[in-house]
Amino acid sequence: MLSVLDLTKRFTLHTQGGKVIEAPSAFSFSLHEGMFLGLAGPSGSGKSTVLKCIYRTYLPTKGALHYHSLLFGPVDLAQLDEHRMLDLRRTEIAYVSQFLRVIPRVPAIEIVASALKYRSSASDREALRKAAELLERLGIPPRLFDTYPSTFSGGEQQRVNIARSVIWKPRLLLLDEPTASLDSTAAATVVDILRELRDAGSTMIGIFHDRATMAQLADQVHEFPQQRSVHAYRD
Amino acid sequence: MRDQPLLSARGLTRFYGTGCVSCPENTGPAAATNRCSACGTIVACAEVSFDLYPDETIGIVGESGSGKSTVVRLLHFDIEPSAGSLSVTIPHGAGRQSGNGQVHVQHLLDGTADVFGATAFERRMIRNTFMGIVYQNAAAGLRMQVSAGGNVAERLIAGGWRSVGAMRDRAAWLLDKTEIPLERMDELPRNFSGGMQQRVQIAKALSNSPVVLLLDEVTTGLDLSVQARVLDVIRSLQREFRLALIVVSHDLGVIRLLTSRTMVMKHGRVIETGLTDQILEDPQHPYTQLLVSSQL
Repeated sequence: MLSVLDLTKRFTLHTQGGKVIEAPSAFSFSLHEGMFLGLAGPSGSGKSTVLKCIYRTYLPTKGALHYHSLLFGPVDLAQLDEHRMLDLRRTEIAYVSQFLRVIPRVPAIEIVASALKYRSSASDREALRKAAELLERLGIPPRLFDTYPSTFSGGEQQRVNIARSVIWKPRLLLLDEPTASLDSTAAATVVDILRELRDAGSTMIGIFHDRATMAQLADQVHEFPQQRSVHAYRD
Repeated sequence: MRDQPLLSARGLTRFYGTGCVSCPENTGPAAATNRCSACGTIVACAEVSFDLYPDETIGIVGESGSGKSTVVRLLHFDIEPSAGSLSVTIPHGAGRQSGNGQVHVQHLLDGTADVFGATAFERRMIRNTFMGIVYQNAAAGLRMQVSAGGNVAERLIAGGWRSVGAMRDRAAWLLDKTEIPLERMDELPRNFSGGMQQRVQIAKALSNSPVVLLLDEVTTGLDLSVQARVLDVIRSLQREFRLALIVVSHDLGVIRLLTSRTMVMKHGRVIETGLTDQILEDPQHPYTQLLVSSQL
């Protein structure tokens, strides 16, 4: 479903004298439908960079990201037209970042429900009901549903973040340390939810700093060597 | 999957001056100026091309003088282009609250005509029926000596409305949507605070149920809590009316909040375009990197 070929991402920092940071370089893997690929390796080895390249938050410098989309058939995510990329983000690819970034002054339940409403024909009531169910399962007390997540703890924010991506059952889910700020009970719930999603057919790529959590989910683990290199030169 | 673009702009260019053959190379980011050293012409914007799709929100960022407001004013027919074309695709029946304007201009709205070539009357019809604009300076968008309700009615009349009762109801409804207390509907906007004036402008801009809403630095100069309220109003109206927006701002926070794609302008040229999160997290052009890294 996804094959990454010689992916290279280079950052040229023009504001710092054209310093170049390369992470990763010539990275390849492929992933078939329904698989859970774990990415492991030291910080700074380029794991998050790979996820961000797939989601196109980063522009890949070299290489190809062949993805077999439901919407458009085979496409190269590295080259795909922006509107089509937005369509894929709306209908099949989701990304759970390490930190919750949401529109201010929107209640938690609204954030989760609107992620579903925006993508399906679910009614307002239906979406709110599903959002409440999911948040409750993730251990967010119902009295917080109508509160803005900016007042939440790190762990609570992360759960809202997970909820708004899993609620619409994306076809490809990119997870960047989704359990990093969670206690063991909450982490176990997240693992259960992700397993159910995979059993229902979703494909996932996940970064976990905790090897035990990774072992519970991943069919295969790709190890990143420490490889970030910095060349200083003027552009 | 996608429909046709609502607006398709190609090579939008606006000079102030006589222009000469050297203008293109003497201006722009490489020359680091808007002014042609050979003939003194100011190139406010040049070669700006983009497509705006239904429901889409595009941001335009850049410093003062980068040409971002010029682009919006060209789209709103406030000023005439020196070169470039604009085609508009609007299916029959859109612009639900419009009067009879659509009938006159429907032949220009199938995406094949260059509307810059239309007559002044036709352009005014297109603008009054399908577009709304909110300016940074409320005085540019409102008549300060006419009541808030009257300001909205003025735009309705331009769009072909005639019944006073219907216009008053519509104005009251719009002012309510933009959180203006109805008891102040008959007051003059000059008695209003800056944030309220902006919200009256938004009500006026939305009066004919436009398909495209142009926002030119609408929150600049407002204090933070007022800015938040104006943005909340815009966001909820955007969802409710499925508006396509073009948001001009130098504030990257506003751009992040409202838009999905962004164009970065400098010295009258578009120097970078991309998905908004990509522009903010992985900017490519040195100027965009400076802009993003300067964000507080």
